[in-house]
Amino acid sequence: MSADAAARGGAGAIAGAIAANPLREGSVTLDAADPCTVVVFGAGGDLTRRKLLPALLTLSREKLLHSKSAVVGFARRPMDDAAFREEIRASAAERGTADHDWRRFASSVFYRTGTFENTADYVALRGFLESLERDRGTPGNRIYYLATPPASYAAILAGLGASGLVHPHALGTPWSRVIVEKPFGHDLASARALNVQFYGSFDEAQIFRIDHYLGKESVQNILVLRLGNGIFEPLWNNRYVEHVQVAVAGAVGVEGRANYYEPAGALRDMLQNHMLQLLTLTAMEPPSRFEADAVRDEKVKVLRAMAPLTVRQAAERTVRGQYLAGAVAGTPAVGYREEPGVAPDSSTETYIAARLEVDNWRWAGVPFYLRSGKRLPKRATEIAITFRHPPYSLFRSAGCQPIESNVLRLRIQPDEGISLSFGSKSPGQVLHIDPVRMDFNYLTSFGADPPEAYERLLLDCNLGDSTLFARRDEVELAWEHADATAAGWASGAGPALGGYAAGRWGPPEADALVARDGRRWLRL
Amino acid sequence: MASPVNGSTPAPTPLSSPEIRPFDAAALERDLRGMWRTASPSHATVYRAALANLIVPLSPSDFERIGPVLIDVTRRHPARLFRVGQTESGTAGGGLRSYATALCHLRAGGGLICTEEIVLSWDDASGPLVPSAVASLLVGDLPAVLLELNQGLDPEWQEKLAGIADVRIIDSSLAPSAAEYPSLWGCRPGRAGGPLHDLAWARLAPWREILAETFDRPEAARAISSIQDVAIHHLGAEPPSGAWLLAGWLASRLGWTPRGLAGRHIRLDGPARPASVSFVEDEEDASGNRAAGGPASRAIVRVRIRSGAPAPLDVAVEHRGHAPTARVVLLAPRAKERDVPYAYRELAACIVGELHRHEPNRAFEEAARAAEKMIALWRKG
Repeated sequence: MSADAAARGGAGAIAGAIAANPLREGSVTLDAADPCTVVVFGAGGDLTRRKLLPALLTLSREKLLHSKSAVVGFARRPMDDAAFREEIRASAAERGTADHDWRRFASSVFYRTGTFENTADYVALRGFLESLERDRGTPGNRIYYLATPPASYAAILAGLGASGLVHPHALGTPWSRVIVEKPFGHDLASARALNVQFYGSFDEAQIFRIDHYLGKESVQNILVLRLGNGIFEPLWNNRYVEHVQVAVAGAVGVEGRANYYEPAGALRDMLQNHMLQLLTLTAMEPPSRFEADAVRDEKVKVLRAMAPLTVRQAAERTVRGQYLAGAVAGTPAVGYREEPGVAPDSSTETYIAARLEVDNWRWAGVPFYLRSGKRLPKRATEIAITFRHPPYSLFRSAGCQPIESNVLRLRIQPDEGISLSFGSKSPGQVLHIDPVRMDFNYLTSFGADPPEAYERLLLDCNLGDSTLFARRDEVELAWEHADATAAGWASGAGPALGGYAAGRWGPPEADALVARDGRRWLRL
Repeated sequence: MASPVNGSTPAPTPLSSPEIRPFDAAALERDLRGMWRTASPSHATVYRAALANLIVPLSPSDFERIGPVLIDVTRRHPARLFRVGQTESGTAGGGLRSYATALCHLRAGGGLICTEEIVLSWDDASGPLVPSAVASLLVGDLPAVLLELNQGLDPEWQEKLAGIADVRIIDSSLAPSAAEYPSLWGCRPGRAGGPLHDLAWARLAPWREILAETFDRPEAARAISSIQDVAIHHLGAEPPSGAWLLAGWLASRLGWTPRGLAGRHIRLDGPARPASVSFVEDEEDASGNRAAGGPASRAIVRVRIRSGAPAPLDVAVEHRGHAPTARVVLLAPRAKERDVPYAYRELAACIVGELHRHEPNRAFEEAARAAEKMIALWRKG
């Protein structure tokens, strides 16, 4: 159990006694989820139906949730418990949930109708939760999940605070935690203001800012690959690494989310959170312990080692693009400005590429190229580490073509896995060297898909482990970078918004960005 | 031999070549390669998964019992499965014979996930050839695990099979008497330093969890150094291996040294005071409700621990069958009862849990050493 968990009360309240218990030594698992009630605000939404409740169902089926735990949906739409359960039954069936597993989970799912602005609804919710906790014999631990648009956060936080639904953070008392979805603010000022709002009811240790990328098995595996194996970390520096590419490509368009996406764009939607998270995990120093704050301290150091871009750097080192009409995977696609809800003269970027630098001893001189876009040829997220060539090209003198650089690819989605490319002699009498690939794939090794990110994140919140959640300083530093880039763009110094046909790998300017350094984007 | 393909998934014809033939390692490898080459055109996606080589000696009669468990094990922990069994007398076709096939299950996201299975049958004359046959087909860069769920095999032959394994998993609860437990716990895989795991120990995990938790609270923690009596109630006339391992675990964790026997009580010296451990046949079981065979019929059903002054405590934990909860009965210093989750695991889950252990399990080894000393005293008495 981490020190953070211990400090948070609940299971951690007796951590000292557990540590002194000789029967615990060496043989018994310590982490067990406390019984708790998960209250989902915005329970009628897509996120709840598609991700949260299926994740909770899986945790229940795997017996990772305490048997006394309960789930309470809270939303404006009038509905009773049975109707709410019915809404999630379809996804249970899709997952092949056994009938007895479904019945057990369904019996712990409840629904309360209410509006986020109405204090009386929170008072009623409190009464219901207290009654539920008495009935189920749980101590009053609660997770509040804000699965709502950010505009509702203030009202919910005010309602929670005013109705006494939040237990103060103290040892030995029932705990209250809140999970908040991204985006956490839309710029640095709004993120800071939001933090202040949260601090009105919760301590930092109670706030779990979710970035679902961090819950992905393959993202967690970045640290295991680097720090759990002897062969990679010695190479993980500017002596051996030539450059790094982080790509988050999407094949879909704005998908009816124009209201959110128009003011956000790729910079705020992807780079500020997912992409910088992937970068920091790739570039961070080994933490002294695998504990929440030790890991997050190192990630923050990476963000601090990256100076926010100046106006000139934003013009030179970033590319912004917007998709035009085209075709993706054989299907015609309209341009971004023709999407419902998008202004016909919108200048929102649906593509971003950037060349960033981490100014520290380990990474000085190694560019990190980031790119993300919508309506690209396919969905793919990966981190690619390109290694330097050997110091002497031995086989060139034998007439061989230059050997391609070794590339270690960490595939985040789809087909989660890791591959390493290297040169190998082609069979035959003539010396030909061709690039080949060693491939690790979750399915072909473990015979199963990695668990859904939300399962891991919900369980970690229940356990009080915030390693995979963003801390306040992390979020605010990431916004500093995004704001600096946005300010550069707003200054008029550039870059211009480049168009790219849907189904292409971004605007030509993106290719030019890496070509200037004598490189090219790796094929995804 | 019964079809090994998962019952929930129709047998994919191109993936199996169930014709049993005289053993030929090269032909089997060709069969396996061919199986995967022909798989793709007829199935949307076929994933061939493997994390280990799993060698399982089984008698034909065991297959009925263990077959579904092995399918579940390879689903949870993909492995090239070697199912090795002696030909029943009178079966046509002697010598070492084999076939290769696949165990497949549907992937939630589409496609089939398959593992390879190689079935080897042998007769008396060809038995000594089995280890070399298996060794020739091991996937080279994956660990070889010998899973012994059969107590009826020739020990010498079994040891030869262990000689090619990196990890050995036994189930000491299948041994008929305590006299055999120490030799089982002393056996090792052939590769130096490889771990031995015991499913009887794996089954103890919930007992150990609950007993440890009982002493987590500060008020109970004081009682741990004043434990004076442990009674382990079990089904069956003889204490099962799990009961010995539980006693050994308590002794190794609490620094107790076995000293002698007083009636049915094993006396132990502790750092602070002497203690005793006794084994009690469950009254209900002794009155005639005894089930026949298998680890479940010799399970632990109750553990009572009593501590003396200055922190008197009298607590019992009770659990039966597959119940999802155990009852913790506090008798002193005040009476109180509560139900706590009991993480019961099926056999396949226990096996998979041990397959994940790549290193020796020190807690188990220390418990086994302490248990061996207690068994020695018990047998002298």
